[in-house]
Amino acid sequence: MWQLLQIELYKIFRRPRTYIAFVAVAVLITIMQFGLKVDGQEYADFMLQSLGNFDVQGKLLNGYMVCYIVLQLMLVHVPLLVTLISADLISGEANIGTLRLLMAKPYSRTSIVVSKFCAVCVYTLLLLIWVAFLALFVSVVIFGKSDLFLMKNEYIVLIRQDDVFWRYGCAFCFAFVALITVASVGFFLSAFAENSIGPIVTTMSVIILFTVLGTLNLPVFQAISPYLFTTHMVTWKEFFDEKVNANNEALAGTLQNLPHIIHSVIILLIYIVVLVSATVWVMKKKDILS
Amino acid sequence: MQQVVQVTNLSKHYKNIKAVDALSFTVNEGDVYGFLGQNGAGKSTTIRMLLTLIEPTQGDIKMFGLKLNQHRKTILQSVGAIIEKPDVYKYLSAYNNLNLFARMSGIHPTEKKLMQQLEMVGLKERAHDTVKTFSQGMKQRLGIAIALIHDPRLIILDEPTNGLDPQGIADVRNLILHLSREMKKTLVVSSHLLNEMEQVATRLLIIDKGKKLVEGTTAELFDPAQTLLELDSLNNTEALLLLQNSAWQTALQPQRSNSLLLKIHRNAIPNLHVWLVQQNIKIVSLQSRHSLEDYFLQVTSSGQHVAAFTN
Amino acid sequence: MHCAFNKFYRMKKFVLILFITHCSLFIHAQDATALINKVKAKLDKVNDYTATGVLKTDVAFIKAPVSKVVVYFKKPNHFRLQKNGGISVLPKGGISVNMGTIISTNNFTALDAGETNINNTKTKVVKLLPNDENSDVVLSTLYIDEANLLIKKAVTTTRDNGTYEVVLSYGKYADYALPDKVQFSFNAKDYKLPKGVTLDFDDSQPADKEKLKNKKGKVEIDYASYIINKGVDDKVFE
Repeated sequence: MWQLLQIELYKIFRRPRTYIAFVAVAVLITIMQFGLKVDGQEYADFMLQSLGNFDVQGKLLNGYMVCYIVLQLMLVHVPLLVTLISADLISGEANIGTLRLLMAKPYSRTSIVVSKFCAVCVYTLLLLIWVAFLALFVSVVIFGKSDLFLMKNEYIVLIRQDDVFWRYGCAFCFAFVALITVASVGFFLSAFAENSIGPIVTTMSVIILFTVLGTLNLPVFQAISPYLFTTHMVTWKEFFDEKVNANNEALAGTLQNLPHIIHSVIILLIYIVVLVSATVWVMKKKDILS
Repeated sequence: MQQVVQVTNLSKHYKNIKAVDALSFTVNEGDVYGFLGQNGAGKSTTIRMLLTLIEPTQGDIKMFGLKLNQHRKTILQSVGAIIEKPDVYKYLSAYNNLNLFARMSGIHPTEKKLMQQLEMVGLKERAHDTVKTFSQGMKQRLGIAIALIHDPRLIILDEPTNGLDPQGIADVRNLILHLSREMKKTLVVSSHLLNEMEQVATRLLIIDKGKKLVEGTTAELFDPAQTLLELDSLNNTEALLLLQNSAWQTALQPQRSNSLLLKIHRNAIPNLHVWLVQQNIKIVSLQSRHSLEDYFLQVTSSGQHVAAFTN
Repeated sequence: MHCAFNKFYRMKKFVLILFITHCSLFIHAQDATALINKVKAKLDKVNDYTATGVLKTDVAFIKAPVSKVVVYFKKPNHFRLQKNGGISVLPKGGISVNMGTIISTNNFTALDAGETNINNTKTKVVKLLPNDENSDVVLSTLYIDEANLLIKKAVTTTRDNGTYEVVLSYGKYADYALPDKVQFSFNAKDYKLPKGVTLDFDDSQPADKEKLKNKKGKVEIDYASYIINKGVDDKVFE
């Protein structure tokens, strides 16, 4: 199994396509950071205008804030980049004709499929570490550190700077689970196709469809919304909300809604387990005709 | 002699199509087993079932005396294969492809061993070039290197000469003979070209529509007594009358065209020729071919049911 | 004739009442102004200060942790609250306005409005009416401890920022009229977060909807120490 995982990782990281995602992430984040560096103050001022009768003092546009802005936008795009790899894993090999060679080797199909999935997890983890490095560390270097000031829909959350880092740590771990869920969808669809375009496009369509269904405020869609994985992918933001005491003082080191986070993680894990098991089952039953 | 492959009553059905229908055959140690049939006859399906790529609908496959569905891993460690095209990872070099598939086969060859293997197939100089720059023939040779890297007892080659130029075809033929005679490997080679198989196979199996038509050793099947001779002359009617009233009468076969058809021993052809000249028959052409070849041609070209081949 | 006399008499009485009332008002206003000026004189002893303290925010729609702050003040009305490199959110016009700045100008009319007890201290109630019609402050009511010349409480009504209340408690810096504790309360209803300009895309629900309703907002600074009249660099106010 370890041998297979090494081989799968070797294949992934010897492919030029793999690095497109890393380059794309770097370019996107750098552009955002550049924009915020140049015009960020105006952006912050604009934001504060709405807080007309409040006086906000301090470095609003600091590294932590920039990371939050970047993550909000990136976590829409990174799933698409993960899909590029995960949805290609089986179908891509079917397409170039190596799947039949692979499946005729003395390893069980289950171990081959599972090792491929593990390789996607490693790839996703590395991509996320890359995102974290650029969005968090580089932003902190460029913009400095300060408290994290967030305007939610209904309230403002001010998180002390010494209380922020662990939240990002947790948020990235959560994002990892969310991205693996997307990867599982692509991976599952990949088992049915003999070229990678189909599953990649289908996965992206599923993400878009689920997102739209989850956003539409119609009773029929709201009934299914709690079961859509896209609904739970944004729960990482819960790490950036704190509990308050009776005097409305925010309590550092607390999470406003831990059960919500746990609930989302469980739903996402169910998706992952079901999809990966289904992929293994499909591949075990499948006649390799490619 | 140990039975390397033993297939019993093997079938694969896709809805209403019987891709392979109750097929049974045996491959013995040291055989070059020619697996013949037109495209779509069920060769590839059978080979993929031998490699566990396709699940049989019914039937049994035993390899090296072990049931394939129970000892898949052990069996496949001793099998090397090229299935249809020799597809490899185009973005990797020949060396890296070979190394990767060696590891997939459960071995960790040294650099020296890998280079030796590439040298054997004439790719040493291109070892570190990416495969996307390779010709079809070079890919085929790399595919063979991959199939052999873990020193398998049984080598399965599915249409190994497909898409190759005459030189490439000759190279593959020589390689098969080398593997069989020098390296004492057992081979299962599928093809739709009888003459290719005739030159390398020790045993032959011809299938059509998933069913076995003929099986036997090449020596048996290519019995010289079963040579078909096609005679064309300026006066075929006169020639037919003469033959019907001669000792050659028993050799006459039903006519398929204007030409006359005789089944005789290969060695008797010169005598017949002399006799016809003596009878003042103006011979335009005398073409001989083995009746198996004739039979195979009929099967593969018409696609219709043809009377069973008997020798 | 009688009628005319009666009319004259009534008129005279009215003028008299008016005169007395006016005189009394004038005297009261004079008292109040004098008191304010005394308070002002006491406040004027402080040219600048640097104070450390703890900021507590009790506003339903602001989740801010208790944090250490440094407050800088310099005459006439420079005021700055710094949060150790962090961010602070304060309702405008309240805590950032020093008591001195309220009464720093003479451009108001001070009216005596009686006496009342604040935390068992007898205080004089003084209403300040700005003379400037465009002033944001519509009315300020000060509760002044006359004996110690300390403002114990101030209620200010503004045009834009609603009505807010500042309660001050004094301790060891009472001689400089500097409070140990400033509690600033306002009606949270007047401070609503506008929708649509927020940074968040999600439909986050408020932590406690009930808390958002009619809840008074409160910001409190507990001062630990003051450094008075030792000079404050102008740069901190930039």
